[in-house]
Amino acid sequence: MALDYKTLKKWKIKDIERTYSAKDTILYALGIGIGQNPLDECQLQFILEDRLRALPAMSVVLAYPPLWYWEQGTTIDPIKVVHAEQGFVMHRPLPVSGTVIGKTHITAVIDKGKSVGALLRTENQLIDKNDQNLICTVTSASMARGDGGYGGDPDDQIEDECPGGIPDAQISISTLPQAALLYRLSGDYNPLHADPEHAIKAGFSRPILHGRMSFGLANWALIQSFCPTQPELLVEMSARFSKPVFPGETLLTKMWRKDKKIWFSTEILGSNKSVLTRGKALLA
Amino acid sequence: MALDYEKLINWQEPEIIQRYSTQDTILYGLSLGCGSNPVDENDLCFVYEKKLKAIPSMATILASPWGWLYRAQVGINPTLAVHGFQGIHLYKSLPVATEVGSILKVTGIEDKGANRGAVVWFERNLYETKSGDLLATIEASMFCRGDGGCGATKHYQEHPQIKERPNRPPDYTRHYVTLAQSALIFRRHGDLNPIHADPLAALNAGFEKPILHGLCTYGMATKAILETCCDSNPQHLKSISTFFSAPVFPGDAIDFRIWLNDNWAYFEADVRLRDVVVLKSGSAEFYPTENR
Repeated sequence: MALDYKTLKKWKIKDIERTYSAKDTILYALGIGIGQNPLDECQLQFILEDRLRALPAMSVVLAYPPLWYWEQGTTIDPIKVVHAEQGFVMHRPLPVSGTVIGKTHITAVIDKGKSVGALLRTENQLIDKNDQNLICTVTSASMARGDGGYGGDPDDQIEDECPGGIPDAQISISTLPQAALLYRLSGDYNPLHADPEHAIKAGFSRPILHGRMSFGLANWALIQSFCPTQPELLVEMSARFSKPVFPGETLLTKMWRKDKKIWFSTEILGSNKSVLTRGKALLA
Repeated sequence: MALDYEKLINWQEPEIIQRYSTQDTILYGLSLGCGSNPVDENDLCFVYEKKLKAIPSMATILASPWGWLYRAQVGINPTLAVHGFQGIHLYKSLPVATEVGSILKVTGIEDKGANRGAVVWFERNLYETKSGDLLATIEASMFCRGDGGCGATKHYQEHPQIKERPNRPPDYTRHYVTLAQSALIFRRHGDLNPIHADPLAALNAGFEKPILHGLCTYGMATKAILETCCDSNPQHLKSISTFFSAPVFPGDAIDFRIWLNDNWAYFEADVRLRDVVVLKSGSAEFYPTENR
């Protein structure tokens, strides 16, 4: 079986409906590690009911189609698929509770060559069921490592225009040894993040942290640096996953800002290993 | 307003029914700090659905009428009320997911005098709705520091039997570090009292910062006893009770000191860095080995 471009481009991914409550919004923030300074008002705004706000990055976990490429007939080898990129564009602030509908479609299938794989880009429109308004557009890309070399859309690689030099802001955030165990309660129960035996079978020495958790943590680092009391000002964000993170590691996010545009990268403190690269964000 | 002890002793609390899931059981384990070594099987069994077990002290947070003492409007000054005693008696292992019910009953009111306070004792039986099985009896007291002198002597209830501390150094010490965000996680079980989360509310109640839930410390003590005396097997535990003697702050490191005897253990807990005893007169009983 080989990747079939036409089949994939026509592939219909089922809509997902998700109802979430303030409790879920709080549990998500706790899962990211927010609350490690329980006296910090910037953290408490994501934790306490009487002043609650949703972290914008929660949009990426609300109504995404989990593992759609495992469905029969996609022509993809699912076991070799890894999460490669994540992003969102907010059209309005994410409500702290509500019912959302996620409409996902495949936007591009990019052939990165036989030895790399095929990059599958999806776009998930998150719609408020109540008033049918679009809340945000979540972008995601997965690398199907076993499916390169079969043709596809032209490469959409864009120049990394990060200014570089000394970062305008740097924040290091430690993760708990039990971070993945807490984060998974937000809905991603993949045993790779909890079961030591499963992790070893997948080629890791121990369970790894969810990529979306590192993404949420970087979102929090950006908000702390540029809009601590108005998280809704952070309206766009995207990054590429480059290495797994183990629970307990400390993540250092370096940020560069030019007017409303921000570039960032996240690395494991003290190791120079980047875990999120080509990070970009936009302030409203 | 004076404490209306006649109204309180006759207080009728409606039945609470709660359905809980494996996620709730996992969150309970995580809120006690389990999983701090995420590859340790002895910890994973409380926080991962494969081989999941419920820590028996979870009974204290299930089908609980949180805040009932203040809702009852019997004249208690809530900012001066603190958790005094907590105990559970276990009849069956708690399922990791099911539906449970319980009705809280006030069992006694003890007047300690006008400038000391009053102690309100209450208990509830926790049962599984579908089987009707009794799972646990939960007994607790609130020490209402602003409500002494109410004259409630006739409702005096006998204290739970307190065992004496054996006259020797502890046989075991378990050292657990609470997370800085432990109270923020623990309140997800339903106790939304702001003194555990809101810095301003804590200040108004006379604490420099939010304090940890007594039930969280109690749960950690239960875990310490399970690990030390029961091979981490919840079925071995018959009962566990303790008095709270000082608040714990999130982030505190707690030493649980345990004296193990044949079928029971005595325990205390202290925060050595602040030199305070936080749990005292603790005791746990175990089911005889042949029933294990």
